[in-house]
Amino acid sequence: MIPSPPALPRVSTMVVPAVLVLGFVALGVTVISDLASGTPTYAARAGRTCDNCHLDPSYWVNPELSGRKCTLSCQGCHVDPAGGGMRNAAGRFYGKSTLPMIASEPRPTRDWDREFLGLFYRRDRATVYNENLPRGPSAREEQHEPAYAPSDRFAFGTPSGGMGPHSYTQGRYGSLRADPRVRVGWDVRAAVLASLSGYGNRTLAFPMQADLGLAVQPIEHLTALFNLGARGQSEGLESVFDDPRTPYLREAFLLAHEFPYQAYVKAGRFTPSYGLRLDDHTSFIRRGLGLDASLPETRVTGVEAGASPNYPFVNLSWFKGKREGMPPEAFNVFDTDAGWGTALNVGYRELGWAIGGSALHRSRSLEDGGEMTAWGIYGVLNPWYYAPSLPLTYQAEIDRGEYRRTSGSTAQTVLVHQELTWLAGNGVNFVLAHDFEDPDREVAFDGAHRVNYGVQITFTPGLSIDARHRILAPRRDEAFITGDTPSATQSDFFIQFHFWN
Amino acid sequence: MPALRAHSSGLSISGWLAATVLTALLLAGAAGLSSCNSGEQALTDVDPGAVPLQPSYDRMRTILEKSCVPCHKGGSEGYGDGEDDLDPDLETCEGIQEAIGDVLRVVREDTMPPGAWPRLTEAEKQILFNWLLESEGCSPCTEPCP
Repeated sequence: MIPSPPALPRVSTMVVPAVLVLGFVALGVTVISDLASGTPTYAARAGRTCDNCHLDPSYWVNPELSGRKCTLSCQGCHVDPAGGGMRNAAGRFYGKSTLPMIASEPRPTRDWDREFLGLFYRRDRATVYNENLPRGPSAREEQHEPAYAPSDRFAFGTPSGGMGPHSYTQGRYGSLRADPRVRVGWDVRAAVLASLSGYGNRTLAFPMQADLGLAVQPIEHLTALFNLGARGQSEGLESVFDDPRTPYLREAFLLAHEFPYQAYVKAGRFTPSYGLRLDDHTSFIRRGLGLDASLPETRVTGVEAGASPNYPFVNLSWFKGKREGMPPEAFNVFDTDAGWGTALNVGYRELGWAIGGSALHRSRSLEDGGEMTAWGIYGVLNPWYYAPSLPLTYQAEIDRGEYRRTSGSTAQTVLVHQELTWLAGNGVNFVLAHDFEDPDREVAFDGAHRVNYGVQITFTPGLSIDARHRILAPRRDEAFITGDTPSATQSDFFIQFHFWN
Repeated sequence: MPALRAHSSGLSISGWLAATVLTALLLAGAAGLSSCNSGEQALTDVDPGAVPLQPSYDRMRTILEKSCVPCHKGGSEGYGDGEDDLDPDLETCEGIQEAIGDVLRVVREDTMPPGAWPRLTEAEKQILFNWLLESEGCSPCTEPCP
């Protein structure tokens, strides 16, 4: 039996969330900042209980540190160890058991009675709601028993050489195939945006993302991942098909993995690991550092290595990339500009909290964008781990950067993101987020705050809706304002439909 | 029913304290940085060479394509006749030349792009302004574009 952490005084469990909420409200009142939900939030809150990433482990043999799969880092859920895109067995299990209102794999015991407003009360067919929990094999040697045979429509086969000592253990992720030879996945997003502007309202419906992923592991320890993406266009579907650079390979790399301490090396086209990898590509901390996931030119070609021995983690990469506004050739992963870059992401993700630091440097000519350096710190607090009555998660990141203006002079930037989420019930997550940017510290009237709040609803595995009200408050030069000029502080409603597997 | 917990590193209490301190620091840092005033000077005063004095049509058009064309393409018949609430056509050079004054006004007011869409940077605004002043027409440039 894995020991539980000691109970903590009730008062202390109330103080921090109160401080968080009050601090957030105070900040929101002081300022008046796009969609800022983040999959890092899922990781942050996953430490509260074991059986949200796999079946009940109460009787499993606790492995040595080098053999543990337990991590709250990106590779805990994603095939790409730096996060994003196709999920691995644990990530898929989480998406089927924990995220949705209606689960298709056994729901964590602590969530049995967390239905939002009593909807679908104990209606998961995959959950037994008694003590006869499915547990999977207690030791790796048992994983090939017929009782644990997979039934998986999107993962097939077994790599040559069989399942190694550090691969995911069959049977511990419900009916999912733990270590497949071939895996297919997708992320498709469509959005509706209604702007509430001083110069008339606008409503746009547009495709945001259409990614089709394929991971092939011909032999144990070696996976090739291809993620074919259509670039979303706010002009509409026609523009997507007219785009000569769509479809293109968002990610394409070879990954050597399933080694002790979850160490890995990958080489190919990828996004550098830096900070909190939010799925909101417009967040200032992503867009402001050249990490906007919607832009093909933010992908780089290089090598990344890392490890995640339970709680510490490190990702280090070296790469070449493209300059802003110059997307690489769709299927040529070697299409890069001159110059190089490097990124480091390191930290410690405990079960109830996390702290990390990142650094990014791009060395390139002025014509290709100029030298750029950024560093940042980020942290996460998950009070839910300490108190089941507090299903809150807070995360924040602060970045400083230096870059070259077109003339070659140096400019400094400051970027902030913070986010508080409340998982009100299974599949229902309320979000309050704040972003701040000051793109050039020397220049007046270029900063902006953005606040957004809303709800994310995951109905069933594979279908989520995210609805937000977003408020942008830029700091403008009053010299350009006349009597009938509308306020610069404006808002919109943004609804996102996400189909995933 | 057993209470299920992940592997504990034995840092729960100290971890709790560390998390509290961390959170307080992050909140304080985020609030402090967010409330800091930016610089006091215009971009052209900070660095007169920050943007080209004669930006190319391509350079200017890239900005409009990113921030304006998603809504303002095709245009409304009668735009430019003094009517309100009519759309400019920012897909063509002729449409841009007709509308650039209005475009400059709304981007400098920070009222466009609308809603929570990111506003133009100071450098982008200055490029539009310089193109208006020193435009050499709509000819595409050869790389590298100024």
